[in-house]
Amino acid sequence: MSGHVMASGAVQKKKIPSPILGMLLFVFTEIMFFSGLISAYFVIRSRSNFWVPPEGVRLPVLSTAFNTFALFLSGVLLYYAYRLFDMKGKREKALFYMFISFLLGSFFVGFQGFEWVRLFAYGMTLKSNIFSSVFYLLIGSHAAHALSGALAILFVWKGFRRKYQKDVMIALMMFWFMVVGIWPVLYGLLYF
Amino acid sequence: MSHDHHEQSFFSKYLFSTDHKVIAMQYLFTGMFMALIGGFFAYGFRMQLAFPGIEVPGLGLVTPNLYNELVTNHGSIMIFWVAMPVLIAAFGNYLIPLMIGCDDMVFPRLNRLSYQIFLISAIVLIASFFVPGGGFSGAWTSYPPLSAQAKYNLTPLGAPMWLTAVALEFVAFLLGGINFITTLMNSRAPGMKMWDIPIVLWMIVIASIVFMASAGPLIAGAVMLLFDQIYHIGFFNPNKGGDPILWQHLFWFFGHPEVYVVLLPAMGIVAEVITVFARKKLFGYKTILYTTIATGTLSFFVWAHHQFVAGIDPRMANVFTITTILISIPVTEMCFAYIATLFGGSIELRTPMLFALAFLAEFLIGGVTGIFLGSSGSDIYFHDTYFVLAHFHYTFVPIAIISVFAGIYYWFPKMFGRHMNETLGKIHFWGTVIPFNLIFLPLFFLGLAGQHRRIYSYENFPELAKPYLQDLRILATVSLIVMLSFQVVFLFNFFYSIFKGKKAEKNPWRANTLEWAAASPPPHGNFPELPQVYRPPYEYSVPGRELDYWPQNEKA
Ligand SMILES: [Cu+2]
Repeated sequence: MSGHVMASGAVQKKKIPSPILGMLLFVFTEIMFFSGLISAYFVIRSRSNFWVPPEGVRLPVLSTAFNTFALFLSGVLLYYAYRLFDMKGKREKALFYMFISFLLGSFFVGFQGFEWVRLFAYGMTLKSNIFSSVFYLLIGSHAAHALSGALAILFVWKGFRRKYQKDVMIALMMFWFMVVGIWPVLYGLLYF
Repeated sequence: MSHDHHEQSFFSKYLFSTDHKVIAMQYLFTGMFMALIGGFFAYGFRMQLAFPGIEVPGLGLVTPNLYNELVTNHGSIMIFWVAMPVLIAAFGNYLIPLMIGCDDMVFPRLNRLSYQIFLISAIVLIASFFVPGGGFSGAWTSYPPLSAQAKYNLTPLGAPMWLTAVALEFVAFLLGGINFITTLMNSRAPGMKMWDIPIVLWMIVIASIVFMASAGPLIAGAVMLLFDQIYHIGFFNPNKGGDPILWQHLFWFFGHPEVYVVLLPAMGIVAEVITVFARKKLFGYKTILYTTIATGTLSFFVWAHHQFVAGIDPRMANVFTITTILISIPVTEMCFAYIATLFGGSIELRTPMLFALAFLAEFLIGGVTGIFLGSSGSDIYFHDTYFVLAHFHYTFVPIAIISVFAGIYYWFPKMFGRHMNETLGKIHFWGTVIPFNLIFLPLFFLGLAGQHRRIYSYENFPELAKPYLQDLRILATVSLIVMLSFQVVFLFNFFYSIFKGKKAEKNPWRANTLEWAAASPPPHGNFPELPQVYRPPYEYSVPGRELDYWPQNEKA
């Protein structure tokens, strides 16, 4: 065999770093997953002549709008932290904003859980009617992603206190922006 | 195995290894084991169809419930636990790093996790055969309301376990897919440009992309179906405001692309084999690549041909008829390119080549009969008959069985450093391919005679219980038993050759691709020094060159 290794090393020049490409593919499948759910929503809604929450229940539209803002802010702060990491001497500040982003993300999930408890108390459960089933399915799927995303921010944050890795930060942002970006769609479809 | 970089215990080497070759072998052996179960199940229900009510040797009386369980899990196993793990995961894991000339996958631990999840999924599935009520019996397509309510399918535990197993299996292949695509993009040997990538790797990677794009909606559907099964929600129950057809759309949005997910790697394996054994350059490399991409893309727009009878707006049925007929164009083009590759080559009929040629011939029959089913007009007559069954077995058996044998016979010397016995290989070839046709050709005729698929015993249907129809059923069953028995030849040859086969050199087939530049079998880390690529993969019989092959890594 006549193997030759380039002077630059064994690996080719990468166009997209592996963690980012891997996450891009993962986010792509997640978007397809949510597309499946959303098309299920449209199919079920179109054949249901009775598409409202159970009697006596009103969805918390306003407080959820506030919660939406918290999630959105969390996304913005994560991006802000990313920009700060690139600047000299802004490491501590970046870590601080990243942590706030985590707190806001967890607040979003916690607040939603609190709303669910109230909805349950008013008698809107998974089985009340097809609307509430679809509601909990879609919002619940998103909440599961938001929870794992928030935990991922915390986990990565802990790692960054030792050493910052730009690729990991970009991958994290891609996942979190997906969570943030899908939310308004679900909010619009299910709360109005 | 030759020396390793560091000493590993048996446990960490074979069970918790992150080496792509070990993971590939784990997938291969698990897939082979599952294939034995799937084959045994087919034997069980075919015996019942040919000889209704007999005590099946080795299985006992096949009751209606058992019959449904066998049919359901035969289909599920062969697609999700044989075709997927062997074609994509085993060959993908083995070939990608070796053929692009790197030492391992980009995410080795993710790769190990992928196999572990896959193994759990297989265990959950097998466990489901032993729970009260038995394994799931609502067909591998799992249509509600049959699949959604235990009072219909009579498998209160088997159904959710089956669904869980399928979902886990999907997660395993999503992780695998991320790895495959990223590795192919980022770890190629220096000098290997886009057009220097062997076609089998393109096909595996494009199949992975198709899988990842189509799996999401089915996972969403699986979550909904699981809720229906366990909490009786009613996403697919019209009485509760749900829609049973919705499942069919979510399932087939995945299910039809899935055909191409397994077809493409099979096509790729065949491309590698025919170029080597015809000693010719692959005809139309770029054409094949573009038709692959076209096939992958089109495969997302054909799914509703499965709803022609279940209920779909006739205008939409026309659209899906057109897309379905359209998709045969790129696939046909691919087959023509392969035949053109063979044309004028110095063909050497070794076992891998025989299987590769059989793949082309048999798959052609599968493809042509598909046209009748893709056209909504004729499909209404053929729907749910044995014609459909014979059609898709003429696609899936070449894909999951014949091409896999081509691949195993071809890469065996690389995998284990020894040769398989050629005579036994040829016996195995004829013992597989002839009975295969004798199983499924009769089933085409039975389908044309109106024989419906999901019937346990035809004795109660006077029109279908005619003796000449029963004779065809017996012919199919006997042929199946013959085909299964010939697999013993393969298993013997395979395991005997691992230990006692003739020693293989580095490049016994005089092939060009990079895996043949590594030792046979390749050690941990694959190459002593990572190769450099100087030319495309199919430079065979180049005029003016003394040797009839020209390895990709050879400088001049
Ligand atoms: Cu189809």
